[in-house]
Amino acid sequence: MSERFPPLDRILYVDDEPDIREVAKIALEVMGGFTVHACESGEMALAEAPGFKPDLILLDVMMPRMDGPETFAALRQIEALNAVPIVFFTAKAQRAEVQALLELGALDVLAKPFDPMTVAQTVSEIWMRHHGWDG
Amino acid sequence: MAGTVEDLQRRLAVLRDQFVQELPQRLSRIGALKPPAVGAWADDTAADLRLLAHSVKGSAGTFGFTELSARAARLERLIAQAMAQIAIASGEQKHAIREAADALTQAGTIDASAVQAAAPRRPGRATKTLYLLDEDPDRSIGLIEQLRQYGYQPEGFATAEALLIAVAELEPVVVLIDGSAEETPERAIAAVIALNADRDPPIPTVLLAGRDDLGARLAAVRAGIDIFLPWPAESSELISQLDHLATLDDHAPYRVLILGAEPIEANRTAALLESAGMQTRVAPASLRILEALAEFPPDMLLMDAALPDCTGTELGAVVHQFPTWSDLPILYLASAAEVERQLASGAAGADDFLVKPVPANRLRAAVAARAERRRSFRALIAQDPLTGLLTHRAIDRRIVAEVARADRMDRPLTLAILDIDRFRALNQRHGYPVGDGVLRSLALLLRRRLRRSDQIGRFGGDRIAILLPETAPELAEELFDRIRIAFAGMTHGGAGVAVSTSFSTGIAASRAGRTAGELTRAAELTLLEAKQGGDGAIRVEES
Repeated sequence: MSERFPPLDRILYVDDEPDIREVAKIALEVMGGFTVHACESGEMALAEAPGFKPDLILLDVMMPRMDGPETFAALRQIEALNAVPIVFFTAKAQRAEVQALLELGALDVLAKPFDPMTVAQTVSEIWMRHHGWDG
Repeated sequence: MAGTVEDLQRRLAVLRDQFVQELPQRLSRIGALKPPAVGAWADDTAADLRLLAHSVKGSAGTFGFTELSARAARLERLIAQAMAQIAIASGEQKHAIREAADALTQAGTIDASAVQAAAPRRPGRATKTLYLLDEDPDRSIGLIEQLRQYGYQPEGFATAEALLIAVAELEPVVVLIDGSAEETPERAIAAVIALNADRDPPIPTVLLAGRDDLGARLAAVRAGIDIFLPWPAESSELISQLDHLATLDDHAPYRVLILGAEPIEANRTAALLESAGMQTRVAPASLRILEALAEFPPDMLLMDAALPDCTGTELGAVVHQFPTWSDLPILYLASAAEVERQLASGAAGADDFLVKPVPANRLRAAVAARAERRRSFRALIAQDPLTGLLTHRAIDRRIVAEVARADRMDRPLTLAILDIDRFRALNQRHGYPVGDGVLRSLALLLRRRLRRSDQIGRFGGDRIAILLPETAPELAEELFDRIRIAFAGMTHGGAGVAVSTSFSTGIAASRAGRTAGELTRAAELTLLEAKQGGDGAIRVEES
């Protein structure tokens, strides 16, 4: 299977909540074996993403100052990153909001709070589906 | 390299404790920012309070404090509504926000003992690290390899001194001492005494003893050795003993359903239990108790003896009439006068009462004890005695439930069925005890390698079914291929017998409209096809 999909290794995780950031980082590292770089704001993500070169970006929707959709738009302006798929995390997860985020060009939208035990697998599956897996 | 579920749980527990410790500070800030009873409430104060509520909602939800999270969400919503309008917040709105802020700070009142109760018993001890003291390097290498197959991180030491130095740096979860080369295990026992002198709690120890006699056993007991294992023994015997020692602390949180006459009181009880690491749900009304049980199947039910619509014991009797809930422990909270009345009427003979007000520690202990009892009882009847896996009936039930869930939620679900190649010949050649040992080894290996959410059951004979929620068949194929390789590298048997064997696997996936029975048959058919491909084959049903 690993031959069929490009490997998912580097994940950039952006969330202003220190607790959740830490939980997400540990869950993705321990259960998924990914290399995770966590940022506490949209600004920090913009500054550090080009150097980190993520395969995938996970972005919280509600953040103070620069929120998820604004960060999304700014990331898309960076040429080296404009093809990197972005997945949103949101606590609202209402149909209209999810729809709007997908229309922005997000790869997927995940609900918060997430289950630390399964989040790594969910992210893997989103990645595989993005690369044509129809499981 | 991905780590283990236990590793993640341990690290999450540390974060959770941090959250609990910092919570009072956050809540007091919320208290300070709420609208004053009289006078103006500045816009940026509102914005700050909203962010604080948002943050508590998210963190509390992530750590499983559902009630706390729900209250923070309510506060956040009210503030957002007030901020969205052009006019300043009305007196009524401010009042509602004040109340929501108070409700939140109340739910989060957590005392220091609760934090202690939620903390793991042995902080800082690596969950899978195992030290082996063995003077014979050849034997040590073989044993280490085997322990690694079962997910332990073993490290070998040739002398007691080297072992003690390592222990001072990082305490292992178990120390295994090979005394099998000694006529009487005197040196091994001396090493254990040196290891655990002045250590509280002591590190669990296993002694592999070359001779099994009363004298050696007595010496081992006196030295505080936890497990005395005559060696050589079946490796599965060793592993199950190690697992028992290593996982004594390991529990999924207890689930408690709470039904109280006063919502505030019930929520306080919920917060108290959640702060001790339990999961709770407050049932909305007594007459909807059955719905609540179906939505949140608990390990125990905690309810007031006096309820608005009926008495607690009446409701308890109704709950116990349903076969699914006939063994659900129920604990009633009652005033002293109510208990007297119940006893006098003779109705309360078999029921369990706690007299209000119940001290927090007592309540937590009483609830945990009953939840634990129900858990162990349930585990006993659903478990196959030979392998410790689910019984055929139990796994069948899980398949039905998971197929329904996967269908409803449109989520992937895979069923794998495997059996040991030429098992009958193996039994005939080496005897049933060896065959049983192989089965137990395989069961243990599967439990180690699969996720906790995966269900493993014995279909009878040497056939084992594994249900993998949220897993596509390709992923399962990869997983079983790795397990197949690990199993092929293992040797089984006891004294004088060493056998290696393999298993074949058939994999099928659930799809819309497919029943549990159809899925099971599909996996079984695929297994039969796999078996035609020779030993150790894995086959996925064509879709």
